[in-house]
Amino acid sequence: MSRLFVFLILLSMIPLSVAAKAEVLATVGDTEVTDIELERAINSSPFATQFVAMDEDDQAALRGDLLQRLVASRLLLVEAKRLKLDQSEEYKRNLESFRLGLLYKHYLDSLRDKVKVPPEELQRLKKAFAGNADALEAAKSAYISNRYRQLRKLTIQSLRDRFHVKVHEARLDGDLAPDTVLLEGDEGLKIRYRDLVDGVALDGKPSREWLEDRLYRRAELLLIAKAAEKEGVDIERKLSAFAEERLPAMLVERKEQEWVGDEKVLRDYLKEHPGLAVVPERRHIGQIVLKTRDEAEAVRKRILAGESLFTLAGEMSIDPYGRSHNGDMGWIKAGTGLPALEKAVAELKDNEISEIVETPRGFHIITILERRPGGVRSFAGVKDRVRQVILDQKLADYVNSLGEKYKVVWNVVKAEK
Amino acid sequence: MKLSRIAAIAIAVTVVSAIAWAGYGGDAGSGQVADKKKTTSIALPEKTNNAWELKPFKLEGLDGERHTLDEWKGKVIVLNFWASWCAPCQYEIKDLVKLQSEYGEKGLQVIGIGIDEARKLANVKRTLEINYPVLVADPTRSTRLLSRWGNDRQIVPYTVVIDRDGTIRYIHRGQLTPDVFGEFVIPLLTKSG
Repeated sequence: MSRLFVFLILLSMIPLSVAAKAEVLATVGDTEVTDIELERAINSSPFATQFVAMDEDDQAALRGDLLQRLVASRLLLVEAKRLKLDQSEEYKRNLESFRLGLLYKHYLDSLRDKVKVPPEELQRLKKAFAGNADALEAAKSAYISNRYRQLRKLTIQSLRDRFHVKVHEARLDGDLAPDTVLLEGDEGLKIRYRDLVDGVALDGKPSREWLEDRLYRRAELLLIAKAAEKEGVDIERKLSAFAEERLPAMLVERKEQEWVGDEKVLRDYLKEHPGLAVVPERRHIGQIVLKTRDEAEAVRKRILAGESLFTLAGEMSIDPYGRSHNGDMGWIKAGTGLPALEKAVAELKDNEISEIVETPRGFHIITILERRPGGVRSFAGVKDRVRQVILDQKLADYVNSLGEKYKVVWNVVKAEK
Repeated sequence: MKLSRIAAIAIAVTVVSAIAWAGYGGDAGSGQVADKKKTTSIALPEKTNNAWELKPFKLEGLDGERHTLDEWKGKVIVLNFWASWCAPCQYEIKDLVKLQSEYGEKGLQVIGIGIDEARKLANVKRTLEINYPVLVADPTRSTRLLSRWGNDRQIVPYTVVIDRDGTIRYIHRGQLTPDVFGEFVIPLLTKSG
């Protein structure tokens, strides 16, 4: 995607704070990707803070990149739904535990929000911490936390009474089958043994303490979620956000299994691309760059006469990195430099001063301080990398094919470059 | 002289409770006036509680002009020190932008002092649509400026609230919350006289 193209995406989005209505940036099948989603993605990305201080075209490039990712993710979502992944047992289980967690959190958060520092206590704290806003905040939080803990305990107790919760403690000591009911209450509230141990790697029967702990935590979760449900807490938007994230991920997990589930695929790929296992030699390089050949020749003479290449590089090198690092270029992999430099380095012995090498950047004098030999990695050592290379390729192809299957329309001004 | 200093302190502490006021008064009355005058929160090294008595600064703004603080004399000034890499600064800037447009007509003037490269500050101004002046302070040479305003530890964000007559009413370290604004700034905008 050209810079100009993404820049125009930015232009089409400038009146963000003014626009109340979402602007559609792309349509995927019959769904839309809007500027609001894109802003949300930016704000929740790891570079959210830096983004604000970036130059306009860098922001545009990032926006463009993120928009492409959003569209890819949407394609996967549409396909996942077509494949009915949202009807699968795995997904339903995931969704249910997410839903319970949301309700639980929502209820407790609003419980906490109800706790206020009473005015007379607030006055006392303000007096005690006058002029120290941080300490005042900390004291307020401590007061609220304390009250909240008490309130939460009382709430759970009253919910236990309200739903007539019965715990079958004696059963914890007996033989437990997956369906053994350990706790029950009104409105279908029920905790079975399997609810406690599903998805946990167990070595024999767990201890009573462990079971009790799991049981009470689960009971707390279910009771509070029920209470929240009764209050009619609205979590629809968060649930659909969960689907938008989880379903594409599930589809990719399945596809990965299909693409690289078998180690033979990795071995075969490595056979076809042996370069992946090759580790190039690395050299610790010192360098000074000068503007003219005459200058370079004069400097080379001074170095050969005993002056330090590094001291001179710190003073004279026209390469800003080299100059600020006194000519120490760090460890550089063979094959990653300018061709003329690669050739010169290949012929150079350790600690020898090179002839003058001309490149478009200037006239270089190089030395090698130390090397780490290259080699060929074993299959085990390179397996993960091979896997990643295959996945990157396959996933890109897959997303492209989905893009053809479900029509993607970019609602941004396209520009001829 | 002493009396007028006590009066200045009294004005400075009107926002805190009566007992805190008595505490200050008591000290002064017993002849134990501290060397450093106190604002409501921090002692300033220049022993004054009035912004117009501090050594003035002259800084270039993002508008390319050089500015001094007394250009905004007579307004309630919220002097906000920030940097582009600072996430809490970004949160509070969003609030400050809203407050400036809401209370600008009532005499509020937010002034940002960005301790950062002008280019980055300008990018933030553009992205967050900052609607108040931003002055640029070179990060390598701002130590003394910050110290003069009581910010020895060179914290950002850091905010100084200056009343219409120059009295420093409040100094806040860390992110400003709407609560703080409601308590220390709005009363200055709505009081008569």
